[in-house]
Amino acid sequence: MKLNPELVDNCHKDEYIQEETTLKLEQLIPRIIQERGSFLNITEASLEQEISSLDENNIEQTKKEIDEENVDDHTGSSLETTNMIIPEDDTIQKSLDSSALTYEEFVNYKTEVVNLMKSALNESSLSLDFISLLISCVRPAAGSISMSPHLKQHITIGSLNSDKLLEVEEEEGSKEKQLEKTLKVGQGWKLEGLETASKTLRDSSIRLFEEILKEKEYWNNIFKIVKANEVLIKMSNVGGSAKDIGVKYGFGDSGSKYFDKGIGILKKDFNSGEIFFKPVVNNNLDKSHKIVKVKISYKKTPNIHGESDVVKLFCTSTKTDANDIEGNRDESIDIKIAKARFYLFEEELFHELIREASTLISYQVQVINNVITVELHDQIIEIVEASLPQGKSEIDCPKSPLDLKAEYVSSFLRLMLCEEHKQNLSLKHKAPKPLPQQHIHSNKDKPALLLRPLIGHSRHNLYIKQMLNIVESVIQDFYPADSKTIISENLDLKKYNNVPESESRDPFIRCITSPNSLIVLRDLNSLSDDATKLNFKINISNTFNFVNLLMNLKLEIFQDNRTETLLDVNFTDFEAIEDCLRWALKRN
Amino acid sequence: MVHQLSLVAEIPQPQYMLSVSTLAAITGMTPEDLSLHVVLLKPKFPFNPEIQAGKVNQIEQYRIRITSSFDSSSGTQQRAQAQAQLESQSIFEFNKNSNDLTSRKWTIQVSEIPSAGRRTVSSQNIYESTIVNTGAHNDLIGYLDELGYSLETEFWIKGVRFYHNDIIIEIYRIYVKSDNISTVIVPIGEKEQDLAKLYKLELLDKTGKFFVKCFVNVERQTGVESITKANKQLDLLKNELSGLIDLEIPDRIAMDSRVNSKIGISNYNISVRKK
Repeated sequence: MKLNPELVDNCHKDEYIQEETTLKLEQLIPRIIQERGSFLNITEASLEQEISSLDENNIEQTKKEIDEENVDDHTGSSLETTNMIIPEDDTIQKSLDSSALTYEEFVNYKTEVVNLMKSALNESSLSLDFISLLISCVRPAAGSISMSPHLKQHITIGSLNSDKLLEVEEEEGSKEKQLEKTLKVGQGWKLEGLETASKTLRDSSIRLFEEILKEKEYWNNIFKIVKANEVLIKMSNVGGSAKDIGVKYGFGDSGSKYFDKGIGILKKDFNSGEIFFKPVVNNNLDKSHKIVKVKISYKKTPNIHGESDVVKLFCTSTKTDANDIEGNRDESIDIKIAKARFYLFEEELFHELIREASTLISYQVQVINNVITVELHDQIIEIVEASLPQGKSEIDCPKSPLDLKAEYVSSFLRLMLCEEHKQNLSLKHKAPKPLPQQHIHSNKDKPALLLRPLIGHSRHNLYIKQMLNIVESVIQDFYPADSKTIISENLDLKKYNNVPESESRDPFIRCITSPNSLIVLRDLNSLSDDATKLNFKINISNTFNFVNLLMNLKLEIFQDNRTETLLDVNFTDFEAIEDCLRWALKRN
Repeated sequence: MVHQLSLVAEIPQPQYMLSVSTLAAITGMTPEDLSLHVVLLKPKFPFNPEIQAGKVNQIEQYRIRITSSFDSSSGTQQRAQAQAQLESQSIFEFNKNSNDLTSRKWTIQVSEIPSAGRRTVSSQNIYESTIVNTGAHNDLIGYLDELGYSLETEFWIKGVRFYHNDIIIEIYRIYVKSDNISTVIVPIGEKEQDLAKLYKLELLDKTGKFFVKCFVNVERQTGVESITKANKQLDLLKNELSGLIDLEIPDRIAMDSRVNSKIGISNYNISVRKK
């Protein structure tokens, strides 16, 4: 046997013997465990002892080296050697220090060790959990004890099982087949997974598309409503928290004081995305859609009556064709809103009519069973709430004069309600009085001016006729000779006395002012004395409530170039005024 | 006499049109024209009451404020606002026979300093009356003279007014007599001698800011319901307009009309002309 001298050379690096200092930590640690036993047994005291013994060894070794040097150089006293030793201690320390680790390096190594330990702990607990899950299938108790609580929470015990697959002995060539088979299984699973994923995505895209169509439908409808000049408002949903869009289809902003404000929420139908609107009502009144209808008949012929045309009114107001007044779900939303607005107006109209009629009971107005009956002197006007006639109606049948009159009355009532709204608006724009505002004529209680102009003016015309008849008969009695000339020349009638000149041509103003007429009988020759002239001024007016009669008779005498008022009396009775007229003429 | 609860704000000139249209939309009305000629009067003789124990000793003299509307016939509203120039007669120079300045209906007003304390709105007592008959004097100045008051300052207010429920909202600017621009003499009235000297007016605040005042008048200071109602309305308005017009409580010292008030007297341009 020959020993290769290179092997024992100090420079030779044996590949099988690893230098302790160049070992990586991961390789170093198992070796340490092998040599010294487990890390569990290390104590601080033992480590210190080891370090101190290591130090002593080092110090002794260097001491020996220095001693050898000293012996060579100095054969002298031990004092010198001891002297030598003392400063050498520093160098020994320094050399010890250089071979030891710096503090930073030590800390780094320490953290590295700790991290490795942590990962080792994690790996071991993961494997523990895996094994315990497997065991739990067979022995649940054993498995659940050793499982970590986190795993127990998320995975049911016994959900992982394992089984042994017996390898079927086959020929050599089938190894590839087997490989192919296993590959195929994996591919199959992958394919299934991809298909599920693509199906889910496609389904959700279809659903999204449908949703978008619904939304588009909804917003198109909203746009249609906006184009139709409706007022949209943002409302907070009563039940939920989202803000809804509502539409103000009522007349609150134009001065109506009706309790139903006419607000509807625009909702989206869940399935079709169509818009429909639901009116907001404070109380749960069941609204049946009614239209105000006027019927007129003569007292003499109660069976023949004229009616106002509700179908025509409905069709013109809501812009629907007369043929399909039934209404169907397909009609567009703005027509639905227009219809709702129409019915709301009719409802308010009837409500105000009833309120006003109940104050006019002493003027031949009756309210029985939701029918208002107004008696003018030879006609009876009935105002009812009618629903639209079902089925086809005869639109173009000829209208009798009574029908026309009923139409006029119906239009008149609606106009007066609009005027009422306008008055309310203008009141809002007046300067507010200091609080508390005492409403002398409280607007809430005062009924709208709807029936009173109608009744008042027709009664007034009757009074005028009656008065003229009285005056003519008186003239015929007292001036039989020239009664005709007197009637034609000296008798004047001036209607609408209380309307200022500038506005007297306006029929509307004439309508809403309480009627007031003046009958003047001028320049009557006095029966007793030809030189004096008599002037009679009879003023017929209705009081502020339009319906009461008030007459004023004024007699002026023109005598000796002076005008003197002889009489100035108020009457409420035609007989009395006639008597007075006759007496005055007799006396003068 | 009314108790007035008010909030004030200021808006810069570029924001004026936006504010006016917003308020027109909120109130639903076209703005009403507001043109006032305001004159402040000071008592002629000092009043030094004898201090007596047991009696109310805090008696102070107040300035009087008389106002009347003047005819601002200078084109449409927008243009009138755009021009910061107005012309008007001054109270200090008038013709006894002229029928413009002194024939207008003047309203006399005395106001107390607003109540102190932490409040949400400023609340103030105001006493007002319109002069219908000047008695023995056939002109206003003599009447006021007999009352014991002399003319102190005058200014003009030009703006718009809105009504919202019980609140009156006023937006206006203050004009004073311009010093440098020459005056114009125009004939007014039927007689030839009725000439009036018109002075050009200029803005008091050169930046052109507008002053906003929102107030509710309440009949009695003790009417709790009315006061709470007014407070609520003003609060609602404040919230509604917040961001556009920031209403706040005015400084109460600035609303003190007493003779000895501590309002920056040095800032006033007092020019009292002897009759």
